[in-house]
Amino acid sequence: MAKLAIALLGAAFFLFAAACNTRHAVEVEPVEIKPIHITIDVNVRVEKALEDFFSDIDEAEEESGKSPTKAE
Amino acid sequence: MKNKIWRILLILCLLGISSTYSAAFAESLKERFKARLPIIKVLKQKHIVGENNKGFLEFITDKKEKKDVVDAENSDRSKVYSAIAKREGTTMEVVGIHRAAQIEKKADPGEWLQDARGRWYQKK
Repeated sequence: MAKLAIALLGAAFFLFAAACNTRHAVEVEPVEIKPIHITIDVNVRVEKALEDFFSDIDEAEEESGKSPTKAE
Repeated sequence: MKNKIWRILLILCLLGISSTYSAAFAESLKERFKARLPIIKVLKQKHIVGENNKGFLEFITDKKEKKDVVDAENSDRSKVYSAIAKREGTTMEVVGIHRAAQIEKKADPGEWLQDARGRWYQKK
């Protein structure tokens, strides 16, 4: 009876040890890192688009600034 | 074959009309901006409005003088930022931030501006 118990315990221990000894292969998708030059390029284009649109308005403002403005 | 040629001509005409309309719309927007310049300049000199960090005018006192002019200016700025954002594949907020930086550079001393942290200060 004791021998049976020991054998069962041994088998249980063996199974437990086998279950703990696992190997997991995790596949990680390559992380896409957008090139930094795309972000810089957008900023440059936005700056230029704003300058293209507002340049004559800003110039008009500067011209009006040279003549004294009467506050109401 | 004839139908195809007519279709191509029609598409070209429509493209021409839409680009003419866009150019005319942009010009009318510019005229409105220029027309409001003197009023906005006075509001800034009286420290009633300042330029916020998003590229828009904002009242900095409880005195909301010429609110209709300020609202019209912001509405038109919003249209411009939106159009540029769409064309350049970015957001209106990004365009507004860039414009705020440009405005800050050319602002007159004494004008109220808002920094990136949201703090209001007077340009020296």
